[in-house]
This record gives sequence, C-alpha cells and structure tokens, in this order.
Amino acid sequence: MILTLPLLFFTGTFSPGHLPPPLLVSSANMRLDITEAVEAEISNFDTLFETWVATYRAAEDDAGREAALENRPTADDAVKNLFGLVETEPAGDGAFKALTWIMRAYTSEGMSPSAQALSLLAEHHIESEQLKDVAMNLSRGSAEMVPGLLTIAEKSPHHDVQGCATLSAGIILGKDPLTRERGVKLLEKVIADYSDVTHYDGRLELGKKATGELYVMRNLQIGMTVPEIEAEDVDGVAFKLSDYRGKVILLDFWGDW
Amino acid sequence: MYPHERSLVSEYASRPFAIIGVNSDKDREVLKERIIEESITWRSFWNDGSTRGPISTQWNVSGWPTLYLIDHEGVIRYKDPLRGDLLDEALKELVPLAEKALKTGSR
Repeated sequence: MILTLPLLFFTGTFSPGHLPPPLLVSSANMRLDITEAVEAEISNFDTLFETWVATYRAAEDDAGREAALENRPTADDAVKNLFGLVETEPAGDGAFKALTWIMRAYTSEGMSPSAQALSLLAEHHIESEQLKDVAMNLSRGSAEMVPGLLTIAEKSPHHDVQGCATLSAGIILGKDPLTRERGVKLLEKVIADYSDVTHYDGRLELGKKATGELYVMRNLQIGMTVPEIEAEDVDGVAFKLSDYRGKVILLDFWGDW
Repeated sequence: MYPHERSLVSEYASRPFAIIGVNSDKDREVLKERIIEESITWRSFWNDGSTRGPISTQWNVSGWPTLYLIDHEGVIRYKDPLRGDLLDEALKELVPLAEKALKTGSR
C-alpha cells in the first residue's frame, strides 16, 4: 500500500522537555504571549509523531505496517490544548500559528476542529493576507468549511483573499448536486470580479480555474453526453472523439513521465 | 498504467471498446519512440505539447492520469477515481451493453 505521510508535522524543532513552558506575561503591554506555549505544544506533537514514523518505517512487512497504522498518534490532545491557548489571546500571532496548524492536523474527529479553527481565523485574523493560502488550500475541503470561507470572502479587506475564498467555496458547493447552483454563482463571481488574481507565482489564475470548474459542472458530470473533441493525433492526423461512437471509450489524459 | 491498459486492449480486442488518449508530453518525436517501446497501440489526441494544452485546459484536468469512461451512446458513465478493479468491473458492465446495441442495430 502507498502511504503519504504528512511531512508538515516535521517542521517543528525538538523541544527539550515534554511540558509546555508557563505562559509568559509581556511587561510592555501586560498581554499574554501564547506563542511559546503554542510552539511547545506543536513541537511535543512533532516529537510524538516522529517517534511513531520511525516505528512505522522499521516495520518489516505489510502486517507490521498495518499494526503501526493502528497506533498512529492523533492530534486530538494537541488540538484541544491549542484551542485552550487560543481562547486566552485569539487575535495574536501565536493564535494564528495554532489555528493554521490545527487546520492541517490529523485528528480522529474528522474535519470539525478545522472548521472551528477556520471560523476563529475569520473572526480574529480577518486582516491577515496569509488567509489567501488558507483559503486556497481549502478548494478540496469539505462542506463544513463553506461558512468560514464565505465570511472570509465577505469581510477580508484584501482583494486576493476574497477571490481565493470565493473560489474555494464555489468549488466545494459545486461538487454536490444539491448545492451546485450556489457554487455556480460563486464561480461566476470569481470570473467577473477576481480574474486578475493569481496564486502560486502566477501558475494559478483564478478566472481560468473558475472557468474550468464551471465547465466540469456543466459538461462533464456522470450522465451527461461527452463533449466533442476534435484535434490531431500524435502523428498529425485529425480525428474526432465521436468517430468512436458505438464503442465504450476509456478516455485517458496521460503523459509519459 | 501501461500494463493494465495493454491487458485491456488484448482482453477486449474484438469487442466494442477503445482507449483514446489525450497526450500532454512535450516532444512529439520522443513520444513516438516511447509509444513503440511501450507497445502503446491506442490512439491519442495531441494536447499541443503541454499539460496546459487546449484539451486538458478545457476539461480542467489538473492531475495525470485522469480517466473518463464513456458508454457506446457517448454518455459519461464513470470518472476518476477509476482504477484497477473498479475499471474492470465497469467495463464488464458497459461493453456487453454496447454489444447488445450493435446486435439490435444490425437486425
């Protein structure tokens, strides 16, 4: 079996001990600084996870790996502790770090901590430009993420962030036939208002992405008649997909790489 | 994918089934050599030498390979994820329907 390990958990540093340091009170403004406690919490989980990965890698056969998978640590405790810290100072940098970490964490409770984290980000960090990444990464998210995305789309002062949040919400809603019409409206809004926005160093253009998603929703759903393709083959001879009507066709978008 | 596709081609050789590719390689001449080396007998549309060519762009394809299974009437019946056993099962369902339609049509 192929297992993709979430490498993002390895980014933290090793902590000297397993107890988070006490909360530090900054003398300048007497605000609680939770950053250090957040980092310690994340680092503790990284250590735990890294130990488990070593066990997994040491397994000699599939049975051993299956057994190791059963013992994969979940981030439930870390997520709970981080939410506790965030509550004390939800608008600070430490909280931002904690919330974005929670959104990526593997927990046994499915996606709900992520949705909760997203709504806290929308409430307390709406000014952040980094919400662009947060929003874009959610284009494959679940329906639970839609309310948070719509809040961000509506309230963020940044055009880029609004566009990415609208796009992700549109893609998610468009996947489900029951909410497809709402998804279509949002994607049309992306094309109308956010076609100028790009992401990933220009490799993703929001208008083009939305156009592609709309095309899939309107033309490439199961039960629809396949659109015609008319082009040259590899040898330069023109042909049409409909030349093969009457046969079952496996249409394969491929490349030799 | 090649071994599975080759085995489908031979398994359904005389039946109403075709693999049609949309190829996004960069170099046509290199590809032609690879097609011979890998015994790729199925026909492919040329996507203008890019993963961002016109066909994959229109179809919003962002992962490779991406598969669609289309029945004899041109209706999309299955989409990714469409791998291994799932694909085999789907063909066992759809190819006989195409054969049935052929018989009815030729009467």
